Amino acid sequence: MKLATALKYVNKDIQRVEKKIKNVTKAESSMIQSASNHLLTAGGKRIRPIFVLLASRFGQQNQERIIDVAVALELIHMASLVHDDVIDHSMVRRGKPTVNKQWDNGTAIYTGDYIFARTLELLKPFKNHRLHTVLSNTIHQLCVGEIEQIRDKFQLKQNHFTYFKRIKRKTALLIESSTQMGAIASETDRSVEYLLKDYGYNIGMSYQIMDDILDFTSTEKELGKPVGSDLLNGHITLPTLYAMKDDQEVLGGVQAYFNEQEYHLTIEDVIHRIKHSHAIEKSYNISQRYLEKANQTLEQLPNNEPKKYLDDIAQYLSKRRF
Amino acid sequence: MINKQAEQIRKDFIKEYKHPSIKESFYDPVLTVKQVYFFQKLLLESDYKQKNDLFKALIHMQISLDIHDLVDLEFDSIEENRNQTNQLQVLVGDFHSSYFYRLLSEHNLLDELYHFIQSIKSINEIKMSLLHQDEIKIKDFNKLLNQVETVHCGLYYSLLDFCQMNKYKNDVEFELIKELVYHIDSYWLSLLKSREPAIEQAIDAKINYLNEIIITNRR
Repeated sequence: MKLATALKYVNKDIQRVEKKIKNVTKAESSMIQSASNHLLTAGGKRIRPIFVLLASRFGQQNQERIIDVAVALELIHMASLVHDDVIDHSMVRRGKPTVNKQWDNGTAIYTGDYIFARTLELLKPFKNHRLHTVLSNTIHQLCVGEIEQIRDKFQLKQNHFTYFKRIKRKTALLIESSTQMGAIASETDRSVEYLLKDYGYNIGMSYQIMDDILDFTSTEKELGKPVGSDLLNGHITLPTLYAMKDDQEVLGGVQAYFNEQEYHLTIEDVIHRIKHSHAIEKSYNISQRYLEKANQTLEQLPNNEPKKYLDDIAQYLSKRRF
Repeated sequence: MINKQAEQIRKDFIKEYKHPSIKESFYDPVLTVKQVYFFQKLLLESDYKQKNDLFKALIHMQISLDIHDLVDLEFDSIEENRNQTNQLQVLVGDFHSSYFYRLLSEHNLLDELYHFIQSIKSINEIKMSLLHQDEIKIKDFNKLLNQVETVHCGLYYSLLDFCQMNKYKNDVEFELIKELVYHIDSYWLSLLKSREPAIEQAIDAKINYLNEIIITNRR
């Protein structure tokens, strides 16, 4: 498994990231600590810290500082997840009850807000304000994306442009920030920083499109949620956009579902139809195109060990099944 | 006392910063004219240079802190409209907190950022503790009221500290507390009252005390 070799390469640092994540809320009020620990110890792929660590190896190493950036990126991601769980009324995350389920919405919201403030505090030793400019812009775009996702829920009038804009804000920018902030924190050349930033962006776009494909092609067991959840929740993703364009039955089915009208196909039939349509392949090709762009960017980076692992991660993400 | 200028600033602020898909009326339960007025008043009294940038950043954060208090503790799956409002309240709160961070970063106001983060952390800790305060004892009444005061006035105290206006703090503190805590429909006071009705007497006593001290100070 290629991800495993990349993980092995940064394993020691990832362990330090894990340790720091656990310590980040130590010695604070007991409720904040319980709720944060509940959230932070649930695990995860730690994709963002891995990108920070690998990108940082293109520059000068100040390992303690780099670890702080890696932790900060993961914490921002987790703070957004705990709020997402409130918004989506989610009951389970990674096999554990969500904070809102275990306690209530208020606890989840204040935990997220606290973690956000704690994250910014972690970056205090950095005097380079570009690090903050990049992160703050990303967080802001993430929030705009979330508001627009709610606005567009169950709205049929969407297109490829709105979809790409949405996934850029939702996923790609945070991965882009991970590689760019790793580069800034290790003071790489500006040219290397921008290449790493582009790599992160393209990987993030490819990753999210794959996620949207897997929402149709995986099983409920693999996903931990019903197949076609995005569509069931009113979100139009790339496979649905292609399928609606190619197949009037899909268009009619989605339209009827969104408008709560009768139709001869149920939404489950529509999901089945999308799953077995060319829309999946078309979406996959777009995902691959972003991956190719990421690889082209990689080629321009200096030849070193971390570059090989960035390539491995790209390949792993393109082939992942869930 | 609360001037028309503050009202206009509030209106302009919302117009400039709200997301296009969010209605202006969404802000009615949060960001009062009094809150705008006091941020403006404190900054005008200070020697601080980048008043406008800090003012906007603090307004964003105050909106974020307050709007998150409006989200229902539990969602009712039947009430679709209320659920959507709840979802937007979470998101709009995050949206404004991201503006706080973005404005301070853009203007390289990192000392300010780190200073106010302390206050934001402590406000959220207090909120969490108040939320989980199941059993309220008489001996804790004053402590709890002080905590509610910090929730509403924490950013203002923090601003006074940052601008080293300790002397001025003595003049304005009681007015701040009276106007921003006890003259509004405070979610946190209501929560305490719902859990221990006897606290209402402590609240009345506090209001009387504040009124007296403000009158004395004016003399």
